[in-house]
Amino acid sequence: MDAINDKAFAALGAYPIIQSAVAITILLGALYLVVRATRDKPPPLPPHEPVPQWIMMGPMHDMMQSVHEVAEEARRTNDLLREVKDLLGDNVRETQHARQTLELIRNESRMR
Amino acid sequence: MTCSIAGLVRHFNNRISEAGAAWMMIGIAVLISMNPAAADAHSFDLIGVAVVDDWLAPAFLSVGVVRMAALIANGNWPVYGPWMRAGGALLGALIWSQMCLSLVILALPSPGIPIYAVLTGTELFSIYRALAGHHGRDQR
Repeated sequence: MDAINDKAFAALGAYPIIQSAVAITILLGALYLVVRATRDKPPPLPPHEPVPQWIMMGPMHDMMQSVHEVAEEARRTNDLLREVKDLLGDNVRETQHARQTLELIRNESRMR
Repeated sequence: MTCSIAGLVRHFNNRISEAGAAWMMIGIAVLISMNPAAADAHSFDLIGVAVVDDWLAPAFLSVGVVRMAALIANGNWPVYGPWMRAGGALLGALIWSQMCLSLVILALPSPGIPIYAVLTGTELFSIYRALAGHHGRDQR
């Protein structure tokens, strides 16, 4: 029986030693972490920030700048549209005036 | 714990890696139970030296279930919960490290090597996280 055991362990070579070494390393690491964890104070809760400051850098900042520019363009477009509306209103008034004038001319020509 | 994605995220919070590892163990147990040939995988070669193939599935299942129980109970077991989580994480670290070692020294280069190595590191970190600041108080 011993001969079989010796043969089996000989066939395994250095594997059991490496395996044990890794297991012991893991156990020692775990022991160290357990000791550290039981000594350490509870980690402080992170401060409550509705929006983290770092998020306002980089692409977010660029996006907000773009939104601002789009809003500015929209404001200019509104001003232009208001001017166009005023001009069209003037045109309508002038057209109505011209129409009244033409009607007056027509009525006068009929009376003659 | 409400059964919604938001409820699960709120409940497991930063312990989702532990829940993931527990589900992996349960999944491995189910796989070996359904198809015992899976126990012949190179990953289990070194574990096979310590655990008989017939006991692989029950071992994985029991560790996975205990870890899930501790995680679901969350802070309701203020004394034993964190130690159960830490013990489960230690067993997980030992299992994943042996599986990683099996692939390193016994098999061909496999993508499982970095996966098991990272899992081992995550489990060691989980030990610290489970016990950090725990002095018999409610620990979540």
